[in-house]
Amino acid sequence: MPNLFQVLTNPNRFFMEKMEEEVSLRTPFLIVLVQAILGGISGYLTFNAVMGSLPIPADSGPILAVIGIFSLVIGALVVLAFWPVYAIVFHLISTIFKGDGEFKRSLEFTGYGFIPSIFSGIISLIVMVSYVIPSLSRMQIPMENPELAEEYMRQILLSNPAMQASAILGIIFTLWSASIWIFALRHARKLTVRDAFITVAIPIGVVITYSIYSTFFALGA
Amino acid sequence: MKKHALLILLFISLLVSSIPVMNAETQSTDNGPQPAVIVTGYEVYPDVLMKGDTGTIGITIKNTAKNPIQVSVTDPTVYMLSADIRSVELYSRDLKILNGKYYNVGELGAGESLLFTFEIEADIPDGMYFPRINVDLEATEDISYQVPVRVDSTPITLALLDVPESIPQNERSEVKIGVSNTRPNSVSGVSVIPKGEKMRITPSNFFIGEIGGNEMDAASFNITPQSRYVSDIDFEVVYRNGDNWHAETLNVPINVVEGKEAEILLTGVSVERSIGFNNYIIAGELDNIGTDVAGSILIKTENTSDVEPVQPYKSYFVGTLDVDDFGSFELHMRLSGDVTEVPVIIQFRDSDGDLKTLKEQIPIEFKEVEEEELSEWWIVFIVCIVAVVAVIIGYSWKVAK
Repeated sequence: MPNLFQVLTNPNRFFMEKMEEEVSLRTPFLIVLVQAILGGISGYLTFNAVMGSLPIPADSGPILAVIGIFSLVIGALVVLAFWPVYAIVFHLISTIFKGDGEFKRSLEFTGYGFIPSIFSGIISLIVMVSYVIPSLSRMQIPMENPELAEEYMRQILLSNPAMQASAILGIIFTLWSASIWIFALRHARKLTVRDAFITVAIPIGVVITYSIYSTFFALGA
Repeated sequence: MKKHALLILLFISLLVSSIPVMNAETQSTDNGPQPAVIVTGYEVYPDVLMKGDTGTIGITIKNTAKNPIQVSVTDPTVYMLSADIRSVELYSRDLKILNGKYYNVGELGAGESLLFTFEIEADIPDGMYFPRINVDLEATEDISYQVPVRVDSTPITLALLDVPESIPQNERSEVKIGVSNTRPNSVSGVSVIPKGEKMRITPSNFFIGEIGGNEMDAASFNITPQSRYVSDIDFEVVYRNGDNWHAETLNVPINVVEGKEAEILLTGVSVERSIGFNNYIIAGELDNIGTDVAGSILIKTENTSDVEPVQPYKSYFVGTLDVDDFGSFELHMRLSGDVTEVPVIIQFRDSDGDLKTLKEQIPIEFKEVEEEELSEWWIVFIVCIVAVVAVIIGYSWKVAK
């Protein structure tokens, strides 16, 4: 088992040493899986809370349970999908800087960068369970107007201070992941620090900008 | 011959001097020429009295002698021809004489006139009467004169000229009354005064003034009944015959019907959530179920401690609604507290331009959503995490060099 603590505190050395080993996707896969499970659980609990606040017939419980599990699985798969998507984007951008290295290595090293996201996921789950889900349960969603209902839920979720705190922390941990990815691509694609920085900064910059906008500014739209 | 002429001349002089010098306006008596006093005119006021009226009879007496005269050329006596009036009296068997005597009037010089006024009361049936005036003169014959006085109690009459068959409640209608003077003389100070309950009548007094004999005039009034059940209207005409006030009344029944009135009803009310916490939209229709048009209709949310009207529709202008017409509206508001009803105000103007206001309460199920703020604990937590992450990232870059 690789020293995951070293990924966080000294990613440069970690990846430098990892380059001596064969490519192995097992550990990165486990890291991303943990994050995906956390995201799935959070989504499932949210779904339950929303359904609980609606006037639904009593005999529709089994169907809702199936839909709930289905949404859990889908949620986890979406999170899992981010891993290869990020790797592809990093790998493609690094070709501008004449990156040299196989995609498998990029995929492996990108997976390690998701470790801070696990912390973000844990905090997000705690916030969901402690604050957001109880709020949703209390709300009377105007389901007669789907557009309005969507807008209403969005407002509840985004304006909840705990959700805002969770979003802020998510951005912080994303920056931490970005820092790890810089060193990951530096070694996986044999880039200079500067080139690796740009390779990571472009997509992560977009992600963080969108995250800030949707959390703090889109609420008033 | 000369003697004869002188004798004839003397005879003629004697003859002439013995003939008294007489003026056509003098009387001749054994006491010398006398003044000639006559009644030159009379006036009855009013021209025609009504039973019970008081009035006056005025007569003018004149001494028609023009100049003092000398009776003969040999007699130097000059007669002044003034009339010594001892008394002037009015007599009547029928008329009541209130003031009919003048005593020791005095001398009335030649060519001078005097007016004597007598007050009478005609508490007698209609007809023609002839009170007599007697002028008692010193040293000459008395004068007696009869003055014709007519008593006619024909009153002023009122007649309906124009009255609507029915008058809508709370609406103005015009009524015209004709005032006819069938008397032979004119009357003055004519006014028509309307009296009615549960209605507004203007003017409160219609002044006509003088109406000549056998003439008529009209009075117009605007009547606004304020109830379906009103009294009849009494039109009273007051007038003066001379100095005597009289009054006649005309009773006019009026028929009041239901007036035209606009009536606005709130229907089809729906309450929906809106964007934003605790924001709601109330939508619905305003219907004119009355009998008159309603204009400038405005509906607005009443601003209270729990209900705050918000844009874009703090109030909604519906406009004009004809009878049986309707218009839709929507109102936006933010609620707080334990609101169970939302107060709205509906304003409109009727066809007379009067502003009418309605208040309605719209029931609502509301549960306040409290917007929470980021607590201090979260802020501290975030700061700590940021600090830890920053330290770790800083350290990782430092060891990477």
